[in-house]
Amino acid sequence: MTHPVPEGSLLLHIGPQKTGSTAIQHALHHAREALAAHGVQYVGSRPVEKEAGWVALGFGASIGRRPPRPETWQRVVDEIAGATAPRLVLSNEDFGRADDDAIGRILAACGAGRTHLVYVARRLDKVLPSHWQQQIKARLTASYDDFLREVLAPDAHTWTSTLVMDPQDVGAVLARWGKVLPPERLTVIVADEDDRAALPHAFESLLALPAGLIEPPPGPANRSMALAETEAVRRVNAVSRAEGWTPGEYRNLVQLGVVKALKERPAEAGGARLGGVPEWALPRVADLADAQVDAIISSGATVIGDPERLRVRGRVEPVPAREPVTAVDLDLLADVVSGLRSGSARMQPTRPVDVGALRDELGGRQLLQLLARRTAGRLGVRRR
Amino acid sequence: MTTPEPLPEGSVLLHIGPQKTGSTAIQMAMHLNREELARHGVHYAGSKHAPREAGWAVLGKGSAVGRPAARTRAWEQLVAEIRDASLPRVCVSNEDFALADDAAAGRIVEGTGPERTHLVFVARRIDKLLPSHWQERVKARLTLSYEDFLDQALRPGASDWETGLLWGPQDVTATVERWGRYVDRDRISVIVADEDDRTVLPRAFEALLALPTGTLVPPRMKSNSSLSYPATEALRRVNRLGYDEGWTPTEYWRLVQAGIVQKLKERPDEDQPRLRGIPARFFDQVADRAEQQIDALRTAGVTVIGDPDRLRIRGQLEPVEPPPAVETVPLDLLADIVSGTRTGAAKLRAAEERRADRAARQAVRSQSGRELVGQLGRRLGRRAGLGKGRG
Repeated sequence: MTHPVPEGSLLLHIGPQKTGSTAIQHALHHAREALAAHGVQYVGSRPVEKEAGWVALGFGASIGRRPPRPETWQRVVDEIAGATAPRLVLSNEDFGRADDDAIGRILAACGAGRTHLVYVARRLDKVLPSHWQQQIKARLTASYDDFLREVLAPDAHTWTSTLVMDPQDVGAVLARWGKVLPPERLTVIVADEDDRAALPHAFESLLALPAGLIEPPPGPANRSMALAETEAVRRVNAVSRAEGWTPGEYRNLVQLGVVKALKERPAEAGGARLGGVPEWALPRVADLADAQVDAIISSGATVIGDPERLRVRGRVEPVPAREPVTAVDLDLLADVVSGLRSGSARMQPTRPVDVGALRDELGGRQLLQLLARRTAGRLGVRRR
Repeated sequence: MTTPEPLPEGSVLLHIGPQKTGSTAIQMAMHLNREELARHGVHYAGSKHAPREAGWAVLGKGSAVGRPAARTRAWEQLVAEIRDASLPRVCVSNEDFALADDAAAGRIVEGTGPERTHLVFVARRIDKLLPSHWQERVKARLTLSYEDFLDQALRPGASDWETGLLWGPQDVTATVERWGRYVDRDRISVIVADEDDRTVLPRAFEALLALPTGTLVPPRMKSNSSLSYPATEALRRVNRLGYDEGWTPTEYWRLVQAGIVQKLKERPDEDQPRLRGIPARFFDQVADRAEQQIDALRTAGVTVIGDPDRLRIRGQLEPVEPPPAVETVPLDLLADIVSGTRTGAAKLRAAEERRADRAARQAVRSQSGRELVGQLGRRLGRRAGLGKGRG
């Protein structure tokens, strides 16, 4: 039985990525009124304040976007400072990547003395394919196997391996936040691959909400891409690199075009999903999973759910070796083209027509000619 | 091959195609070799390989998908060019002319000169023509499969627009009858294409135009190369998407024809299946039509260059089943379509930007006289050093 955080607390959910954050954020966002009625304020005005988070984390701009604006984080800071509800929730899966300085900034805003941290641990063989897919949407061109080889290398320190694996190192993440927060204010929720309600229920318990109040909305928001779809985007990425597309083009044509079109496909379209790791990677993933379980048990944090569920060894079958995807069906092709078209339409310059400026471009002589023609026309004189 | 006599000096050779009978190759051979032609007394009319806009203008049929309306001036200019040409012989070639109705044929001959015009068109074996024509139509937004297209085109009494587009220009009797109203039959020639000998067409044109043999060399690059069957099927799927999403003709032109098709034409696709021939269930009907074509050539009373029997299908050829249905396309074909779509989309955006610009300039021009006078006054005031002019 989980005890709610005391009144006056701020529940800080730090993801990490690919552990079901989007679903819980959308659920909280859509339930704002009901939450308020039960004394809970969900900080922000969107499902997640991504840009504000990048400011707090000290990150630069992502592909094709402007750099994050400091005022977005300031708004979050001000909202928290002015909030009067008994319990606050702030959720941002990127905070799972916070270093010591960022943790300092985040806790200064949240109030270190009242912050309860929530970290969601998900079985690693489920996190990895999901992460690869996420990276493909951000212009990665590596195959799944190459991606796994990179992030699973024992001494990996590449940008991708850091991005993917560091937030999964639950021991290190809890130790970092634990420098400031006492263990009784650290909570780990163990995700249950067979029970999608486990996460919302855990949040309901922590926030003293009636059961069933947080319902993830159904819909395409969380549709994962099928393997063939992911491979199609990967191929588009290769084209974009070969042809030197600008980041702005990539963002519009692919992220806001193709990927968006693919998200709108029926849930079952596109065929097989990855859903796991291949045989060669399983021993390494099992080792990392065991270390994760040990770290959670020894962290002193409150644990919701059974950490043993995170174990891979002896419980998880490798995904069968598949023939590489070399072709896509015609409907997928059509959806890619449809996405490119709508992505391109976003790039349409919508500058208003500035008649004044154009008129100023005309010389006096041209203005005179225009007038003369106008006058001649009115007098019925034909000029050639 | 019977070598035709050269046309008399002062003649205009009017080549009307039709489409998919090797027109582009012969046009490129003449267009790229204008100087050499001129040295031998032949003026090739127009400034591109074919005067397409002039053709659309005189046909009065509207231009191809999404293009701006043809300007009448384009045809008038071509007529003036033919009239003013000082060389002994002129050649005008446009495969769209084969689509002319009676009135348009009259207008065309009026322009090229009824007394001096010699008409030439090409007859090609229908089993070669059909797959080629279908592909051309897919590049122009058709969504019918090859077999559905054949099914529709071979239905007895079919009179739909698509079918008319196919058979109209191939109908030797009707073509001779239509143009024969304006051009004497002894000034009409039909060249029988030879599928095994690509030199038949250039040799015939050289003979008619009194050019030395070997002057006309079709470019080595296939000028209007065909797409592989998977590429055509992919395009057909994009066409369906275009209808599902209600793309405008302009969008289709830029995205697909100027974007995707251009990119697909660059693909060698040598290992990919190509569509050819006639499936068994259509074979007899097509063979019948070929025989009608041969009979028509023999009885039309016009000059026939080459042996009409080369067009025979029955007893000469076997039915060919189409390649297996295309359900998936290779990733590299997807890549080319993505690349082509991006190029087309950029062209579309550029065109819309130009259009917005023109509209803005138009807005300036449509300002009232009073506004213009005010503007001029302010300008003059500033120039005279009066500071801020009065409004």
